[in-house]
Amino acid sequence: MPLHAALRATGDGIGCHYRLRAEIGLGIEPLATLGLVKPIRQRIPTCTEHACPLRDGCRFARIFAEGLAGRSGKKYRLAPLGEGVLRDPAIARQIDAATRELPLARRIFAVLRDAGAPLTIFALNAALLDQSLAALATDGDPGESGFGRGELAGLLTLLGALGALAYDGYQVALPSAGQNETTAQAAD
Amino acid sequence: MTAPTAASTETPVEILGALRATVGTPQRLDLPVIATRDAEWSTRGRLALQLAAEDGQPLGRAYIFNGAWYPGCDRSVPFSHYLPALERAYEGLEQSGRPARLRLQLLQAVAAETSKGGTILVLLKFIIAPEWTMTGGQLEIVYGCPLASFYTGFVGVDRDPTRDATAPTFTVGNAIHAGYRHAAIAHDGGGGEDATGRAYLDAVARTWADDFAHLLLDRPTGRPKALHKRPLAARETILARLQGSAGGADTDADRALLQERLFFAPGRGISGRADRIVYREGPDGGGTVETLHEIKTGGGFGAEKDPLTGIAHPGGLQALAYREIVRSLGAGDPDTFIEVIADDLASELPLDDHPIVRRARARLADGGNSRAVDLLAQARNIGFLVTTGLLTGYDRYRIDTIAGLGRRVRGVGGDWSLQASSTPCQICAASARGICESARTTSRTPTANFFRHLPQELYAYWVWFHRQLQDEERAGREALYHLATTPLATLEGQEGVSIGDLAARVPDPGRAHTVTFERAARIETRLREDDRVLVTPVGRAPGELLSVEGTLRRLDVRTVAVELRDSLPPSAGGRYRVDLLPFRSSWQTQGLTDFLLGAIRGSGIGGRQLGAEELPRLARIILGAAEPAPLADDAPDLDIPDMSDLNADQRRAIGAALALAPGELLLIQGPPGTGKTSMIAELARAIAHRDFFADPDDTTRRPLLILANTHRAADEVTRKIAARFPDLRPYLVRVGSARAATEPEVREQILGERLRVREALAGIDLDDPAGLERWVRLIRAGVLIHDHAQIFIGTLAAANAPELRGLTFGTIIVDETGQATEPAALQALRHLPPGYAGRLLLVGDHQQLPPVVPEIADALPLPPLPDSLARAGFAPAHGLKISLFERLARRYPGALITLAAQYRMNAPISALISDLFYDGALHPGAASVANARLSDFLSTNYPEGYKYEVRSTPGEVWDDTPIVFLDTSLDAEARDTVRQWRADESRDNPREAAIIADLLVALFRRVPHERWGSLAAEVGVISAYRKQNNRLRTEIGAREPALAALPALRIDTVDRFQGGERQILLVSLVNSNDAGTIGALHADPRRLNVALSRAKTKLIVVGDRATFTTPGRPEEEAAKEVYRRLFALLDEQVNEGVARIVETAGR
Repeated sequence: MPLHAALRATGDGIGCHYRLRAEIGLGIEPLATLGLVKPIRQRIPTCTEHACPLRDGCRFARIFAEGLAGRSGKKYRLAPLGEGVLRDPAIARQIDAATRELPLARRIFAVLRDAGAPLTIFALNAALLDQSLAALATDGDPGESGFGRGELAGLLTLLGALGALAYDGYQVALPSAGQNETTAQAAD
Repeated sequence: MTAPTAASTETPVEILGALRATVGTPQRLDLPVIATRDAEWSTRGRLALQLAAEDGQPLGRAYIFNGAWYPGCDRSVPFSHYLPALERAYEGLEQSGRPARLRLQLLQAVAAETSKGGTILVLLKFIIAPEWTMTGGQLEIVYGCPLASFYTGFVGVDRDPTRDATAPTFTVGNAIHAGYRHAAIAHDGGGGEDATGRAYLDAVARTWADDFAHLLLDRPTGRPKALHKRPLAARETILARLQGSAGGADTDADRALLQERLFFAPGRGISGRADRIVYREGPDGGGTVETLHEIKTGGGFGAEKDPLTGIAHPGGLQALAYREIVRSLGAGDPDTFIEVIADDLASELPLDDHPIVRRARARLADGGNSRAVDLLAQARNIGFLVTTGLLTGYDRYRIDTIAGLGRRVRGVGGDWSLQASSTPCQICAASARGICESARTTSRTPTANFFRHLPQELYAYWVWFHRQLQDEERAGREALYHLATTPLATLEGQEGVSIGDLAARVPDPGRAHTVTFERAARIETRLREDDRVLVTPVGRAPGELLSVEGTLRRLDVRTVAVELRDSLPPSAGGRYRVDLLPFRSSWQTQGLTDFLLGAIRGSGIGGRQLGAEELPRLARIILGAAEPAPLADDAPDLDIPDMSDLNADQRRAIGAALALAPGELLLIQGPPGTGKTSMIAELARAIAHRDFFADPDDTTRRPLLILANTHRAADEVTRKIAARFPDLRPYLVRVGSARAATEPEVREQILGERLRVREALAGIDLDDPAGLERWVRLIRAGVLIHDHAQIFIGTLAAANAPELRGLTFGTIIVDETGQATEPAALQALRHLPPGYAGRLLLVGDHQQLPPVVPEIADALPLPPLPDSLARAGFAPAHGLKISLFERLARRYPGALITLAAQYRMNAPISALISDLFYDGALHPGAASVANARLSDFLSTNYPEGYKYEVRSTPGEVWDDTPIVFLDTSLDAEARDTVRQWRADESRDNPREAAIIADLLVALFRRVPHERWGSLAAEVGVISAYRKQNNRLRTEIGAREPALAALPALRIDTVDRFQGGERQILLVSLVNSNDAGTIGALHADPRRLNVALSRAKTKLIVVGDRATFTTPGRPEEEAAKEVYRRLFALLDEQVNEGVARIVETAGR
């Protein structure tokens, strides 16, 4: 499961957003929103300091090595809840449910329900973008309807792995009823 | 300095004779001479020259001494630049192998008595090479930092477009300038405060719409910022200033307000656009400039600080330069002001009080202080020296050493009190790129000995093209001088760049700024639609104050329609002239130099000599120092959703592109009709799919950039992608502004058009704070759309566009690469990730049209070819006409995929093209294409009323025979008439035009009249000469006016037909003469490929076989071999029954 793999992808207890992205297709955002990790914003370690296996070929390593802007919040430590997910299946199930309730996840489900058919990643992203634009025009700010493609990419991966969506990297669809049960049993 | 009378009747001999009669007293002059260095009489501190008049008449010897000294003078001028600058110029000429001869505009000289009792002529002040024009803005750069002018003007250093995404503060100045300009027009027209205020706001809104893409770079996150507020805050200030100024033009008919007019002083080598000039017409047709205003809204190069207040005042040198232009044209001594608009403050500074003038002690009030001349001449002459490269040539050690001379470039002389006191490093591109060792900024550590450390291969490459681009640069800079000093008869009759004796008609209704000019005499010219032109009253020289710029919109046999930038100037005789305005752009040099800089930065090595093997891989491939990765032999299985049916070649090309590793190159050749644009669209879809979620955290990294050589090609790719893949439209950005010809489906992909910015601004009350908030929200919406965009499409010239600023792309495709010069194509590399770690795809066809390169008079011959360039596939005399695509296709045939299946031409036409140009490899991609005949098209589309009959009568043209050649070899009436221009020639052949007109009329009269429009869309006529195309229209119109008037009926040159196709194509070869001359256009057989391959089912060629096959000029022999092969193939096809040859003699 991507979530478990993501929580295990640490060195000396330190994980990195860019490693998650490269290895699992997730970013730090959903993990932080779910309370599974604590982003590090001060005394941010370099990649060497936590022996990241990707440090030699990663083009973002320089950001941490040279202390450049944009590194804050990109590295993290596991939160107690994150450790709990790795330890206790019941906690993992609760987190699975919480993932489906994330604001962006709810918006994705709503768009798919309105479409009544599978959507390509292009069409899904465009529908979500239209919502952001509409909120900007009305309220002066995208607000909750704002999102980044990275956030969307990670969440699609998570929801797909949870069986909450049928996602093959190109098309996104609401799952059939049977598919939902099968995936839930697999998680147990 | 007193301005001389505009048209002196004294000869140069008389002028200098009068000078010699006043020994010991320096005299003011305004005299151009040709000065050749006299080495025999030159010594250290003394330069001897042999002077001659423009017509070659000798004028004797003259001298220049250090410090502007002359025998008998009581004091010299410390740090005078004149001698050292001119000496360095002559040195530069000699080192580059050119004669030590320059034009000088003499401004002051003295006849001095020597200690031996003789009299010598001593030159004290002059402009070096006044034919080489600099703008006022460029003078300010030199004033601020001559070294900056060297790096940006000569070397071609530009800001890194992948890093420079700074806030567009210049948009404030643009908006204020535009608002001020239109408010002044309204005020001058008698408008009250309300009307003037409205005009101001409307102009600000229009400018914001124009600058929308730039405003996105600011990335506003909430409330309006200074960027948005300042133009509005300036309104009241400007209105107050206008209300306090003199009355409008309606109160004074002889007074005109001229704003941002291009004007030019041939004797000063300076051009510019003064923001506001008040001009008064004189009784004798002359006129004077009463006031001149230069408006500034911020700092910039050349801003000088007031020594007492410390406030920086820009614009002083520009205003001084423009004033001098006016004076040199004999248009008076205007009161000159610099207006600085800053939010709610405005100051109007008389030029005499400007810190530049005060610091230089260049008081203007006494009729022209000598120091004012020195201030301008120093900037102009040093600017000439550093920007032409005469100072260093291409000696890389000298180029490196120049930075060590300091920003003032010690050695060229110059009084530092005539240069800016503070450095402009913060805004200098050379400083930002870390190339200037004298830079006083900590933003980047400069690299010492940059050029010395370059690998020889890279430096030789840069020099090879830089020299050629410098020739184009020089021609562009000298073009205005040429226009102003060459008789109109020569410009029109021999060069075809001007049209004189035109009367203005009433402006076209609905287009207030478009004026149609007409005359009784037939117009024959090289001017064409969309050319930038100058409209000038006859009797005035182009650029002499009253000229107005415009764009040529329509050109007929006796009329010219021009869309003017400003109102039409009055003309005493009611007659005007239209001149081609040279367009100069330095973007190709910047792209070439950016390749140099990017390759070095990408190596990650500095401080020592580099080897070519240390450069990024893609740079090595371009330099011929590394082979591209081998291609797979077979077409891969492409598992890409929603992909169209592709043929094997297309699958192979797309598969190879997707498999390309970062830093690699792929060449895709797309012969006519092979679906190249469709392939690019499919590839774009595949890349967008693959990379949609790649690098999602790096908003500066996008999947795909497509650059094309022309707007037409960029629009076509945009249209194809948008039509084929509607779900990609939200992620597709067409870079640039909408043009008149932009189609709706392409327009929708332009950011400002998608958001209906102009309409929105028209509905926003900018007086209301809520309105300004709405505007900022619209900008934020643009930012949001831009952030999600995945595919950007533009022209090569737009590589520095704001939509692309700060972005890199994983894959860059260049379309029409065969038509782009190599420096132009290098623009594509500017947006690859650092180290050129991206994928470069060049799509084109070197068997079709080559790059269009202007013929440059007096172009320097290329030096011997270095071995490194020979290894890279260069040939001796390898000029800009050889595209990057052609060179790399020949150098790396293994990296080239050719699309061989074409879907346009039926089998016989395809076979002709395939055999002549593609070694027999091109073939129809489907049986339906191969077997298509004219009857299929006509009977399907025009079944009613058209009785199609297949005839076998000899001479029948409109039957199903795919190819018909009408041979005029024996037709005595079919001879061409040639119009020789200096740069090229124009021909027509009335008999051929008559034959084609008869054929077309016969075809169309078989179809119901109401269907002519749709049929015309499938018929095309091509000839190499616009003169012949005009003749064709005349002949058709004489037979059937309604037919000639059909806009869908295309009659055009090959170059303008590129990319089009027609069911029926008629080609007029035109050239028919006893000398067997086929002309420069036909001498490139690739034009024949493009011409013939436009036809789908019916190709009719009319021409003189004998002229095209008989040996003639040696330079045409290679092309004639192709034509001989063409006619031999036609003979074979006649035997096969798919072609017919008909002799026109006696018909």
